[in-house]
Amino acid sequence: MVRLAPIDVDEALLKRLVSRDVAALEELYDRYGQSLHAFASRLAGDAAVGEEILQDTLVAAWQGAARFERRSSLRTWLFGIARRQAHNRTRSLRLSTVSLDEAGDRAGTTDLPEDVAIASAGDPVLRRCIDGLSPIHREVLHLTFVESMPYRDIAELLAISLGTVKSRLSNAKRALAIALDKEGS
Amino acid sequence: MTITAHDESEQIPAFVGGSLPDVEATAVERHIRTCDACAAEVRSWSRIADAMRASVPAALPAKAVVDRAILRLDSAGPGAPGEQQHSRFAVRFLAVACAVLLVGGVAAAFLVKSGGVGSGTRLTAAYGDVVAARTARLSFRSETRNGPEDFQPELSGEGVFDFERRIARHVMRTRVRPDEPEQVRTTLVAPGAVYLEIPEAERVHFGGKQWVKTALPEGVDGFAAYGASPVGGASITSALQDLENLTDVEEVGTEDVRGTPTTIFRGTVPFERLIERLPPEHRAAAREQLKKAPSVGIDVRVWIADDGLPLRVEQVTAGTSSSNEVASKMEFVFTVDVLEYGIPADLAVPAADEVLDTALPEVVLKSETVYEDGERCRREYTSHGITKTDCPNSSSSRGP
Repeated sequence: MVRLAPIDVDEALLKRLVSRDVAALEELYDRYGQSLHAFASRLAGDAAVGEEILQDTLVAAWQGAARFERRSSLRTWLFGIARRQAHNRTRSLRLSTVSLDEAGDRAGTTDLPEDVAIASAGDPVLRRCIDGLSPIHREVLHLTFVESMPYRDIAELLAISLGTVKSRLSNAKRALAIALDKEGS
Repeated sequence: MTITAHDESEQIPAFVGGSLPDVEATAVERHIRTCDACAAEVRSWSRIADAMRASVPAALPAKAVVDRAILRLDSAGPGAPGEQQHSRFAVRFLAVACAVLLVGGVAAAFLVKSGGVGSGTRLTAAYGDVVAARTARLSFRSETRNGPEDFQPELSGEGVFDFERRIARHVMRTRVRPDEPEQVRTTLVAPGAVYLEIPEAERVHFGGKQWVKTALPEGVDGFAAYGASPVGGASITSALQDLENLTDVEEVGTEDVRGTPTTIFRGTVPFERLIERLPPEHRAAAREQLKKAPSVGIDVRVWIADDGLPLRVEQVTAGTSSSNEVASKMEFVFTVDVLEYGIPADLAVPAADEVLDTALPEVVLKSETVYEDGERCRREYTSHGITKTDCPNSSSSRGP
């Protein structure tokens, strides 16, 4: 049997979606259900809501497959859908706008022993503080560390510049260090 | 201490996240050997990465999430699927109802037509008496003995059966694995068709229709095949009808069933009797499949009240695998209890406007199982109870 490269599998899957093959949805679930659910749960802060978002994502992928222009990979496209669906479900998430914390410049971080705070925190506290981060920070951390997504894909997905991806990551770390500091005091 | 925002520092999250190309990753590795600040950053990012990965939900949502998505498609505007989607829905619906079929592939579903004339024992009259009573309320349950811990399919249910008009309606609860949610399905079996009830909350997506109808092929007796989900060769109706086919019958004791004294008989329904009911083209494969079975048929025990009516029937089918030790020891037990005879039953075929007709002549379910020894078995189950098993190496049926 010829083993197809992932990208060919994606292309075949997309064609079946466009041709209204319902079984393709099941395959989409098999291939991407786990990571979409993890991502959605992270954004929503709740696995059950994450499941609803996954369901919305499958429906939206079905509806939008014919309009997908292949400017990104299928995975990036699906994550983009999941993100919008998460936004619809949880109106409090402000995912697409630039948040205030990105206005600040990095110079403000220099005196903070971030790495020391993070290195010395206990696991439960660290996790609690990560859960308490803003959605845009949880999102960029999830894509980087759980999905191992390259910066340029993250930039495309979040519709931000490469530089913003980098600064958002460092801001996320700073926000985490501040949260840990508050926990400790 | 001041951290210089040099290039490597910006790459550290990607380095820790594993998305950096090899060349760049090597450069970062080299850099952190001499840069304490960046080495500290790698450590803290690694802690964040570990915490992120550890807090990912462990379980993937059940596949039911796909079903629910599919149910929403036809109200999803332009490009919504038509017939194909409904067929797909019916297949998945049936897949749930028939999930337990995947248990053994032993003598499953050889239930096409009731056969044979009675053998002259006291039991011979029993099924005739059941039919004479016209209607009954039955409960049924299946049980797997000696199976793996994570594979304990549960099936139980209750329903009203009209043996004269050959219509049945029952609610079936199934669960294939202990960690799966229970599936509850209402099924109505009528001559020529099987109807699966669409859960109330989901009807809105099907124009308010209550039932999905699957027509059965000409000559297929839905009542015999679908009286319940077949488990290791059993269905509710066949369990009763097969009393006519018992051989080696012996009386083995007495017992009260729900307060009524009964006599217990045991006997065997020979596989050959079941095979004779199959369409000719399926018989050879079935014989081959059953060659390695440890017994010559299905063991049956029946509890008969003094008035001659059976109150309980228990069928035990042993696993037939020769190569899979666990599967060869498994037993599938199917028990039917008659709770009440001659009850008023107002079973009717749903009106046409309550029905979504899938117009499928036949629904085929396929499964593929890869065993630890690498053998890959393909199985097919069809809506009228024919099963095909293809295990290339062992050429016999295997357990789950």
